[in-house]
Amino acid sequence: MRGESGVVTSTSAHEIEERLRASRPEPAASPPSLSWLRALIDRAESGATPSHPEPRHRWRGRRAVAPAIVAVMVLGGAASGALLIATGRPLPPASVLPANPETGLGQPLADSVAPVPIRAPDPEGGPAWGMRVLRTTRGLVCLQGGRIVNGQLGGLGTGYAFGADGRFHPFLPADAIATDACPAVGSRAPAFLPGPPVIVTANALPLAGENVAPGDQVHCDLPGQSDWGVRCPQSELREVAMGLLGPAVAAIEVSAPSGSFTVRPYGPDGAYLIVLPPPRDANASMSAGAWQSPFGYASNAPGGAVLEVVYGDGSHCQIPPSTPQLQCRARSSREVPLPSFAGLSADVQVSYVPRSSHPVWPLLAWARSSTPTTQKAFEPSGGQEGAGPALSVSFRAPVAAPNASTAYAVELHPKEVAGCATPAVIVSQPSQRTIAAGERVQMMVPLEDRCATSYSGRVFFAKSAGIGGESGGEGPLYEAIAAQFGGGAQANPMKFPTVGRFQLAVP
Amino acid sequence: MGGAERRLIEELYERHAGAVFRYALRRSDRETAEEVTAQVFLVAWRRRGALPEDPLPWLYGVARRALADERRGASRRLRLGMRLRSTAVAPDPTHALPDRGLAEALGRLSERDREVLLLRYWEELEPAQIAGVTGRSKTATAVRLHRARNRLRRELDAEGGEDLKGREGARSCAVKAES
Repeated sequence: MRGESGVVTSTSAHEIEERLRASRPEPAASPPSLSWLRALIDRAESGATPSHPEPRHRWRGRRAVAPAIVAVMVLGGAASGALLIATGRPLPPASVLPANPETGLGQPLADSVAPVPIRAPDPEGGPAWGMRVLRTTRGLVCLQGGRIVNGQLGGLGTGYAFGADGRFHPFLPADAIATDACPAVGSRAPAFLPGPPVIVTANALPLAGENVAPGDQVHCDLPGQSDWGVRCPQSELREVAMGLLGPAVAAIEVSAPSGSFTVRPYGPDGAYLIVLPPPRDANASMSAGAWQSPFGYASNAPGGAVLEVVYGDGSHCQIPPSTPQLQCRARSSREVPLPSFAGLSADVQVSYVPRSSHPVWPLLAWARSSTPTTQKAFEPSGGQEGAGPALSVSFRAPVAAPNASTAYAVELHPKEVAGCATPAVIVSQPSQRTIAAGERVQMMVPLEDRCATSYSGRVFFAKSAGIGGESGGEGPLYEAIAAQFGGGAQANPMKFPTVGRFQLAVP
Repeated sequence: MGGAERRLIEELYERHAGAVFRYALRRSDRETAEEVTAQVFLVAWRRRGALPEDPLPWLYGVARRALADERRGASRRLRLGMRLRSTAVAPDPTHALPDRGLAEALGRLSERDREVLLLRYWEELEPAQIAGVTGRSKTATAVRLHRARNRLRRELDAEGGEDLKGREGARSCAVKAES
């Protein structure tokens, strides 16, 4: 399509937006009157009982003798015992892990799949709680909690979950391996994941992980599903803290409304799992706002437990911290260090490919605008499957990119052309595979336009030490890179070091 | 509740009840929308001491969860009543749109993708406000919105939207600036 100026332009993104706007239903009805709200508040203030959800299937296992005394047990041998609970279908992961273990998030290492030998009894009885510390071939560490039945980790078909079938539904390791919850720490380094006490449902589904299909309509709180339960009854809630504190932690002193006790973390990871009755009015809190925990959607609640973490040297910190000074922090250098800038130099070769069958669009493209933090629609020529112009960028990797939190990526700055809305910045997808030092790397960066212009650019080495945010499965780097180019308060203070720069004119 | 607190909630209601009610009504029937609006402002009343400065995204967030809860309840009642092991009622507010091509393409998106698009183009929220509704970071929301648009475009292309396909070959350098 040609505009009046004769410049070839695309309007499809604009038309999609207009189509969405035009499709908006415009209901003529008005909300109920203010007097109706006044009556509701008056009734609530007078203590009238609001309508309750329907009674639900509840776990009918043995009740704990003393619910206030809830601590972690470390199992000796096969002390878990067998429970006579029928097993239902496993919880299916939302996305399949890559077949090649050296790409993407990797595959779980076989020796990390079994639940670690710590168990926490449930305050209301039924199967004990347990956890996995999953490690992947790409250096991610993911936690997964759940109920333990016959040595397997899973959730219970209670509440609305699984049609309230009362069965045990195993969690698959892939349920937990997702960018949102798994920091990359390298091959065997201890992870630091100080999970706070959160309110979850007794069926344990919120602890399955982030990689759970949102289409599963289960109650109450399926992680990865934003439609979490609003009014879970107190009896279906638990307060659970699960995490890794590393080898230097000696003890965790738990203070909760139901009592105080001390927990010894397990193993060199300093793993802990604490299960408590919910604090008072936890369900009311859940109806008022959710917080994203490292383990999925869950809610914190006022008046919940506090974990006092005591280190071997006598120092201590708090989870959650009552003051910023008491924030728990990693005690040793477990992160993959960024290579020195000097060691990152490499010659970069660039060529223009008029018609490449590049598979994906760039990670980011930012339009020229007075509001630099506003992301613009980007239209890779030819779409995802089609061919289009691209830059071929190749170089010899000066350092390894050994795991899912390290990668090479390309940043492009097209020269502005009158009448052609070239973006200000294009950032390629990160390399997303394990790269050895000295290995030849080739990356294809799709170009959005067919206007003659020139590009200045650089190859940079990116690294993320934290937990990724919401992403499309590209790995923890995704948000770190996006944040660096986002500007404002979201900007990542770390400047990714440059490997090499280049310039190229495109006909 | 004191007079000042009551006035605060009433002002909140007068300012935002219409938006919350229409949000719910675009995604459900009138009865459910009224119920959801009631829940939203009762939650606001319970949280009156901790309401955010810009309350509308937060109100939408509560409405979104209340709608989800209503859907789950409806789904369960359906299963119990009809003895069906059907899947839950699809949380798809777009099934009745007159633009069938768009409705079907939206229906194939994930609920998250669909919701950020509808919050952007139906409720006219800025990405930062959408982040407040969905509980995600602003950057992640901007990226999600960007990708959701791209996925919608692919879905529209895949279903053979002739006009869109016709433009495919002529696509060039324009980058649509977001309003």
